[in-house]
Amino acid sequence: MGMTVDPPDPTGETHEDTNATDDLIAAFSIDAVGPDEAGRVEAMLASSASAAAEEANYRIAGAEFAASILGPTTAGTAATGTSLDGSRPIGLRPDQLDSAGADRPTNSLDGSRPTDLRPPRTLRDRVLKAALQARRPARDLDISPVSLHRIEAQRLITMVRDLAADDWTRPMDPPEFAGWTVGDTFAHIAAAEGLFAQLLGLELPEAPETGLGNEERTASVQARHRTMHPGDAVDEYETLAAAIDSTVSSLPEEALEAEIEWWGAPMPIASVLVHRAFETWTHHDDIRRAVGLGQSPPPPESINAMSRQACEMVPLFLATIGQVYEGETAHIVLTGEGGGSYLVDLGFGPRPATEPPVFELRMDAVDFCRAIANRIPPGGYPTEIGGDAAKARALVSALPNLAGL
Amino acid sequence: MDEKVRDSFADRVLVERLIAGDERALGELYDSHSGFVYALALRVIGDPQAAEDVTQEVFVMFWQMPERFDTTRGSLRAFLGTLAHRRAVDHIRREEARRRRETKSTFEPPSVPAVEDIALSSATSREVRKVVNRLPADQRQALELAYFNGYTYRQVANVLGIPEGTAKSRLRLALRRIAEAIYSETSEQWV
Repeated sequence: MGMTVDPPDPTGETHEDTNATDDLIAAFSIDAVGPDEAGRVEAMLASSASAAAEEANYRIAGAEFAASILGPTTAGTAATGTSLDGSRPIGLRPDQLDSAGADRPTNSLDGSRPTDLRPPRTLRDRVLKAALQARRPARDLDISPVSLHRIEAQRLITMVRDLAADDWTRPMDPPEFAGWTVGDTFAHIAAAEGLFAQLLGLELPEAPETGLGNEERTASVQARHRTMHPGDAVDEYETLAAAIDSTVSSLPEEALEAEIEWWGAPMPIASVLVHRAFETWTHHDDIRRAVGLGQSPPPPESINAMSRQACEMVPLFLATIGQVYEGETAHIVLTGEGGGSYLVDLGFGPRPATEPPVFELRMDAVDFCRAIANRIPPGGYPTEIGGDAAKARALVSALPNLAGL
Repeated sequence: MDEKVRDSFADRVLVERLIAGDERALGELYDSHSGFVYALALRVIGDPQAAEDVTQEVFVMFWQMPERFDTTRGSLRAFLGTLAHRRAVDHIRREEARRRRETKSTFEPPSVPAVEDIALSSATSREVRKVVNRLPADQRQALELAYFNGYTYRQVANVLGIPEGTAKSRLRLALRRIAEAIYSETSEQWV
């Protein structure tokens, strides 16, 4: 049932008594039919998408009509109950009402006349409280940083245990891994994991001292691993990951907020766990690529936690290109499993109370993470941008810039 | 961005945040739209306490199911308005039925709230206001009675002393004019 545009009908009367179905749908859309007819219309709408769309259009029109009447510019007309020219009250005589309306009371149940259409101040608290009690915000994707870390370590262990002996010596894809083999990449993961363990206070007699930089530490562990059977290297890593897991699992939640010096910058243990999981996933997929396996993204909960943390780092991404937008926010919508919706700061200063976000960036959550890991180039994945496109593109271009730092 | 696009973008952002469970977005939703929702409920029901209840119901319901709002069809304000209207009308019809059961009261013309000093954030678009102001008097009258008094088209017909079919047609014609004004402002097609 399509809405056609009829010729102008200045009186509005020429179409009366026609389009009976449309009329009924229109009345239904503003709740102006009785229960008997409402059921009939609902059945009609359920079976006809075009009728349903038409009803939606009428319904929106009704609400916009109300807004136009109740809005400040037209408030004085209908809301005070006068006719168009203001000369008389809208006709309501008792003798004109049918039986259904004859006993309609005054609008105010106690007969008093409301003089203010503004909601009372106390209503805000009451409504928000009731809403928050009615539904806790979605926490289905909640995962602790401890679990996140454990899951990624386990996924890596499971994958590398299935590698054939000659897989360990396969070269990694250039250019990120100049000359590295699969085994070298695994040693790189173990090197960082070892540092984390040491910073948590675990004794690792064979690990390099904590003051070493990333490259030296990696080279040291790679050299040692090359003398080991791959299975033994995996066993050692598994012991290490398990020791970290045991340590952080025993910490009270607030202790996870204690900072450790992670590659030269203070960072809460909880954040390091997320970083470690992120890096483990990234190199896990690097290894899979080198041995011809398909990519294997983490579970949605993990994607959600990692991308959420990355969203908090947006000002840092922008700082790498010298384009921080103080006092501005953006909305990042990450789609797909593990996605979420985030209002992010584009600067380091306080967030404005009322200004709307300057852009919306919508992209797949896994793509977002892989872009940050510098595993797909800007422009190598679909995005939807609304609002200030230049700023959105600046952020997209900056996403890989913290990888490897 | 023009006003319409900006509003639609802002609606989308807010709803996405609500879907994500952002409690601050709930407060912003309330601050932006409670004026309209409450005013509409009060205008229909006439009882401040009941209008507060309706307002609460509307926001709680939206918080629970924000994904029900289709950002491609109409504004967030309109969506919340329809929720409020349905609940307000349900309220007065329930009250009506209760009164019919309990007493036989003498009908008094509904009093309507005054709106002096009203400050609503939900100003509607200029095009829609223009069309509303230019609606033929009989169509507007029918629409006001149905919308703000919660009358069925049969009651509207009775009040105005016109055939039921005519009342129904007036409602449709008025709504269609407004809908066409809404859709003439967007690239969306009026189905």
